[in-house]
Amino acid sequence: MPVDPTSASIECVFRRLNELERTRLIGRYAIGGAFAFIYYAEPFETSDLDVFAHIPSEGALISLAPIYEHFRQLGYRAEDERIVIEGVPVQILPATGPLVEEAIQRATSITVGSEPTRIFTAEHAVAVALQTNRPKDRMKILHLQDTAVTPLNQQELEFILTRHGLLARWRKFEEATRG
Amino acid sequence: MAEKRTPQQTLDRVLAAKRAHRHKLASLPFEEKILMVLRMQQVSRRLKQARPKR
Repeated sequence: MPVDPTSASIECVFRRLNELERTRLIGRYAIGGAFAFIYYAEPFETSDLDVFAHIPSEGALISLAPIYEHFRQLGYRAEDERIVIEGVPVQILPATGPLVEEAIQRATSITVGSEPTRIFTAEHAVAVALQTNRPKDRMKILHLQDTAVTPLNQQELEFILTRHGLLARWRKFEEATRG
Repeated sequence: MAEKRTPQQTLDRVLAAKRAHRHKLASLPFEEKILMVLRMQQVSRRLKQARPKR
């Protein structure tokens, strides 16, 4: 039976993520993906909360099993590649590549209820979406441009895109979507 | 009595109201937005379940 989430359970999701970081099952984390866009813009439907994190490992290979086991012991179930925490499907994603690493390092600190957390800046969320570049990622960028409360910092965005070799792709995207 | 407008004026008013509504939704606290997304997921799930199987 699905749980009906409330503000208290949403806060609990971030408490659980902070516990994960405190107990070093994950390193520094930040919210990315669709929910980063939703933070800055009009909400839209998405399947899960993407949590980008450094996953501790001894070699090149990582395992999410200790994280899943931690949540299983707390009574949360795994569903495909997601963990359902207080009715919220959460996906833990390892930081892959310098852009995501930077997005985690420079994430904005926010609070949800009374629980602190971090979220990608709007500019990093756009850069990561542009790097992934599926049609739904491009839609998210357009949606942000259309409905964000605060416009994107173009200069900051271009610095990020230049650093990560994405400026030409951005120019192409702008050209294709200019209304 | 409602003011009379041209079709274009009416359309412009509707679009302006929609923009204002989207801006209002974008300004909601994050936890409210998360709850809204979760409700959207629930509606989607129910619609999928209610869809007749072919």
